[in-house]
Amino acid sequence: MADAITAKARAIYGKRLTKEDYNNLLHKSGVSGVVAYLKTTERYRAAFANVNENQIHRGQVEHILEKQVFELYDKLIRFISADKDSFCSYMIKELEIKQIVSALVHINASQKDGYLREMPAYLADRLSFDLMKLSKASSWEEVLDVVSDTPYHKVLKPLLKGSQTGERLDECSVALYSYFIKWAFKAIDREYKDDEAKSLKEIFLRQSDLSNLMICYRKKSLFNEDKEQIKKSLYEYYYRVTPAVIDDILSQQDADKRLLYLLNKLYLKDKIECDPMFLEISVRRYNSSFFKKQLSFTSNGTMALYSLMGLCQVERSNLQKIIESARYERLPEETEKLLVY
Amino acid sequence: MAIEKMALVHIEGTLKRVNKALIKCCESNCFHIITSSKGGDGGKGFRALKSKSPFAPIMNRAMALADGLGIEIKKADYDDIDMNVTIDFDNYYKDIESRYNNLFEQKLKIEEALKDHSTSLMQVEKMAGLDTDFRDIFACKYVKLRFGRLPVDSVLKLDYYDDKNFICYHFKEENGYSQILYVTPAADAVEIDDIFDSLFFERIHLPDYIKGDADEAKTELLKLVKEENENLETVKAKIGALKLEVEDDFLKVTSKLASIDQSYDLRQNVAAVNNKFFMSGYVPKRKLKEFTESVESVGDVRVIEKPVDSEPNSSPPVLLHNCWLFRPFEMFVKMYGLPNYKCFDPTPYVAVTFMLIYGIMFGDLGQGILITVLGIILDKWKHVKLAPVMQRIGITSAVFGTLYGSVFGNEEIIKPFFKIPSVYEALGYSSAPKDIFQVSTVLLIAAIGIGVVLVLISMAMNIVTNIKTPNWLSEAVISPNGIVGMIFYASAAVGAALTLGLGINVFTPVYIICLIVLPLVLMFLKEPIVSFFNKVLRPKAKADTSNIVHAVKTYSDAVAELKSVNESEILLDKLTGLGFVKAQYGSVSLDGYKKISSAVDGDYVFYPFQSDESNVYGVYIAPVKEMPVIERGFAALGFKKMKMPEHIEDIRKEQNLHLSDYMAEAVKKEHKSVGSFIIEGFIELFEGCLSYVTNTMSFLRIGGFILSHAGMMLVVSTLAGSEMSVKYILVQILGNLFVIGMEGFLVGIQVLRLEFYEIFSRFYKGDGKPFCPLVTTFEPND
Repeated sequence: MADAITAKARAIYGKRLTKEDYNNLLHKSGVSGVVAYLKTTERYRAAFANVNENQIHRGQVEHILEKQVFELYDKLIRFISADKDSFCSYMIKELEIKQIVSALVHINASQKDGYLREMPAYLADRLSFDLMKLSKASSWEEVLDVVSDTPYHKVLKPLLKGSQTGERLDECSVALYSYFIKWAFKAIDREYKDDEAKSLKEIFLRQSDLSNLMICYRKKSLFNEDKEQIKKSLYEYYYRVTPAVIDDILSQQDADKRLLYLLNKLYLKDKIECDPMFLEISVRRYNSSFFKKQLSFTSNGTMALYSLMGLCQVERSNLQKIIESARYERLPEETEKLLVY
Repeated sequence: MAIEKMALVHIEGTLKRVNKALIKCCESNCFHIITSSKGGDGGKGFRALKSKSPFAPIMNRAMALADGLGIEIKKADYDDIDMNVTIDFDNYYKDIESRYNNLFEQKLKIEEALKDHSTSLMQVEKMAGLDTDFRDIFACKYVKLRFGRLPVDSVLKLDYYDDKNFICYHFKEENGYSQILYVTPAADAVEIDDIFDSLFFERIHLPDYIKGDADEAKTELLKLVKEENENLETVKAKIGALKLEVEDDFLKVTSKLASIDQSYDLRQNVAAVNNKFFMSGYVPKRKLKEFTESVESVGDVRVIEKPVDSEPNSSPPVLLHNCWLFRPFEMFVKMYGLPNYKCFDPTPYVAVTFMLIYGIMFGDLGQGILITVLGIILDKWKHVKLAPVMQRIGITSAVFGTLYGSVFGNEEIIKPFFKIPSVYEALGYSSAPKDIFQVSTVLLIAAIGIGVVLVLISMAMNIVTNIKTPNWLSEAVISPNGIVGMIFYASAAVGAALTLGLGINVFTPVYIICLIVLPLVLMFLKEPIVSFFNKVLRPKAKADTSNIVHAVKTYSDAVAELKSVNESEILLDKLTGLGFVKAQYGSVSLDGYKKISSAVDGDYVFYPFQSDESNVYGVYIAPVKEMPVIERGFAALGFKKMKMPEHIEDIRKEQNLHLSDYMAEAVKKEHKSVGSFIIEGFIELFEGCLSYVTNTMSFLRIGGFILSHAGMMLVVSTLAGSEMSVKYILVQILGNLFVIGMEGFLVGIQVLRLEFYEIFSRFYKGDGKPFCPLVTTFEPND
């Protein structure tokens, strides 16, 4: 079955948007132009088939793109495992965490129906808590109540109980994603052996490393936050960016340069041009090339699925940027710099 | 063989007759126009005629009208149409337009109404179950109602807004959307509309003429759609009647208009001076008299025949003319490329070999007749281009099928040739072979024999084609497809046949040295032999400084030529020193280069420096006084002036440097080393020898397909069984059809492959240009 999944994943990846497609999309005027073009591509034809591109809203396009990635994942995991605790259900877990964090962010910003507008209603039957109840939650206690029957309650309770401000929002996010990594490691240990388990775990450790570097960059360089405070918002999973390396970055006066140097040395290996202005893009580029490599050479079905989903997210992110540019009439050359091929 | 003989004609006359002359040329269907050498820069005082057609806008109107009326535009005889000026045509089309436009507007209105009703009907159908009258809904003053569709994902989110002041009705859910109607007080409409907008609601505006509830509205709309469809049919019928009424005249008038309009486009090929026009073109020789009479009937126009190759910028086009038997095979020749006008048409050779090889490979009396019948049907019914070929190859297939004794795979009805005692005894069998598989060795040897003969014929054709060309030595004599190659190939083949077949060993030392080794050595040394011949044996170029044209192809040849000329005659320093000489560097086509001495008059020297596949690059030097005349002469040959390269300028500046010294120096740089000569020579020789073997072996497929056909028919007969039954008949019919469809097609491809790769590659260059006579076309103008 692993071979079949790998082959299927590669076939799906083969239908990705090409550079020529991106070039055409960049020169489309307005969201309707972008949607009209996507309707002509094999990959998005079905997703946009019944959409009226002349009336569609940018938010709806983004919803459709997110839903399309999820439906693709949903279709593929049926070939691997139906067990909801298996590692392959990682995307459901990830989406659950994303919904909780999003709801908390909107509550914190006092946007009454903000989360509702973003809420992916198609996940309503798939998550371990009531999505509608979450959308109606107006305080942190109500959020805790919604997730009371889930493992997230245990993670969030110490952080949210009695807290009414957004001071601990970052910590909540880190705690939830740390829980996710912990869960993933357990599932991997349970289901995979030796090299397969090692390579799957490595993905998470790499992501944790890159996330930590990004957090350091934002908090140190942009907001100049306190070293100890920054450390609290980091994931406690390390691969190449060890606590010593983090200490080293945070101790530097010119953290930017040090961080770029380490990012290059540890991950990008000078293959990707790294500019502090486009740090996020550089990391996405790294992820993209890493997943492409994995998808090309792996014989592990789960790894192929994970890589394909990673690449789909990269493509979705590219399209979001194109749609945003089309909506706000940005120059194609500027938007092109933000795309990852 | 069968390339239509062409005549080059110059047509000249008074300028006011140019359009009429062009129209006559179009009508003749046999005039291939070329850009006159007198046009452009080619002749003193000549200018190319270029003018915008005043008929173009009318032509566009005519085409639009034809489109609207549904008239299929085709050429019609317009002798009886007495319209010549724009106003005549304008009035004619205006009259039809006034009648058509009225109907067209009615049609547009009805189509628009039909579209509206259909859209409304589609929306109303989705609201099945709505029991409120639409008129009441539209009449509401204090509540707002919105029809539209909401993504299914957003429907769930409506629960969140339970406390808001609106009521939402759901009708039908399809394609990820839910058809809804929401009602809200006018006072809250802005807020509610905003909520629905955020949920990606797409509003649909229903027309206010809808009345009754959803079912009644649907019935009413269906009635309206039906009425409009009837109206549309009525208008279409009226347009059809108008078409019938005007069609014949319309086609005649439009044909004439197209001819006149097109004559303006063709003017760009016509040169004019003062009050006269000149144009040139090719006409098939057998139609020349008829053409001349037709064009000269215009009055004040003369048709003058010139030598066919006297036009410097053009070579005659090729029109194949074969008898009915060979004509369908012209398709394959055209597919590969038309022959050069000066070469011969290989169509008869292709036709004979194609029919013969196909027949041998797919020999079956029944199936051959079936292919012929199918070819006749397809030709009459669908005019398929391949059908006449099918008719012919079907017959040869039937003939060879009779020889093989095969009728729809059954080999018992007719006695096969290999079962005739005198034949099988001659083939070395003591008793009659049971089936064709037992004579497979003989078949394969025969296939190679056919290959050898065809390759030798192709080589002979190459020799005949090239023997009169300037490159006869390298192409017709010392080449793998020339006399030397032919001797080697024939000797090797005959020697092998005699030794292996009859046990006569002819490979004696004399035989090997004279007929095998010597040809190989000659082919290996082809380049130095040709070079030596060019230097020593060819007639030397004229040594004076006027009209020197070096008939050379390569840079090295040019140097050799220059060296053979008395150097004192070509000292550039002397020429430049005199101060009355001017030089012009540039390129000229190979054809133009060959015609320099005949086409350019005056005192000049042309030094070719380099050449590529299509052009010769060089410099002409002439006295300043003569330069304008010389320049015109070169321009007429298509000489393209180019900036003088730096090193040529240097020569002119360096007073003591001889041109030949400079060129000899340059040649040294590209001089081949002995090592590279040996390697290149060996590889070319190896490639040539390899091609003899592979080309010959390629013919094995002829024998292979005979056996494959027999094998496939054996499978069919095994599947059918031996007892006559429905199954037997069914399997025989389907099996035979399958074999004809698949193997018949495959054999066709294989034969074509043999023609193109094994035969054509040895002698044929498809570099001819097609004969394209002027014809009236019906295209709107830009």
